Amino acid sequence: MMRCEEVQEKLEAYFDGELGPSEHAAIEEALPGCPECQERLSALTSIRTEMRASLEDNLAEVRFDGLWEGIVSDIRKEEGVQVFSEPSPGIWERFVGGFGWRSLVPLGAAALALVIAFSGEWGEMDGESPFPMPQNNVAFVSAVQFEKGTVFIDQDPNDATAALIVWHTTDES
Amino acid sequence: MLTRITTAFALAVLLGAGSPGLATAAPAEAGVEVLIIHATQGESEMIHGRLKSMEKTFKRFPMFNQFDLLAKHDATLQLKQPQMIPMPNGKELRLIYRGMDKTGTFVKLRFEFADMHMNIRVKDGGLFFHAGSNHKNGRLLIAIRPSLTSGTP
Repeated sequence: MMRCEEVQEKLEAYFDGELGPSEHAAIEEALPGCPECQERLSALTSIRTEMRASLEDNLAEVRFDGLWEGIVSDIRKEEGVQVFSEPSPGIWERFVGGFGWRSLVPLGAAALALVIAFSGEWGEMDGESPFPMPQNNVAFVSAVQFEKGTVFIDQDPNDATAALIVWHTTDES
Repeated sequence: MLTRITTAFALAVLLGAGSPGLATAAPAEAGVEVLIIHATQGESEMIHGRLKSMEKTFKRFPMFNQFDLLAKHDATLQLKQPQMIPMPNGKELRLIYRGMDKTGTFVKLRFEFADMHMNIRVKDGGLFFHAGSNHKNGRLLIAIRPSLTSGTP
């Protein structure tokens, strides 16, 4: 049985799904006997939940009509890229967690930020940004490649000096 | 036929290379400031003194209210030479300066951390954040600011 110290050491990797099957199973086995580990795991889950809630709030405020139609024309459509052209209930669930294909979803926000999320096994698109983001801004992503999880690109289309924020989460839920 | 194609290709390359405005000589090196920030949720707001200028950006992380500076690295990146930067969680960030874009406006950087690799373009002095790794009940934020004028932006 794995000791609590070992569990805690590997807890974040466990949470991010970075462990191999044997280590993953060892932690699953040890967790019930370690209240402190459970507490830390709960804290990690809480952070993820809050982040998701925040982005869901943004999504709820999006007015896709006009915004999205204008954006979508600039997207280089590549094979395997899914584009959601209108919001629908539970859209979040459609792109979070474990897609085997790439998806590209704009999440504008009344609060100025343009948030783009996509997930999948990998994507490599160099040259001009394939993502619908203002390229006059201080920074933009021209290519991204990742094995799992979801990437959120948060860029303010109304403030060219605002920092570019790229989130990479490995949601499993 | 092959000779004609080869000649045409060579001419195209020569003409392209000689066209003004198409080829922008990239500086051989670029300075980059890398800040490793620990974002957490606490009872009261806290921003490390050296991060006060980023307060507006931190509002875009509504799930956190405490931002501590764990490390600061000032590095000089040589063109196309990877530079490794240690992270508090034992991993390494790999940064590569890839030159300038065609317009000479953006510094092209390759960012490799864990399983995520990105090509990003950042204006000289512009700020880019990566938020991803869980770390001690919070998240590691990596702030990167390239500078072509000196090693320390």
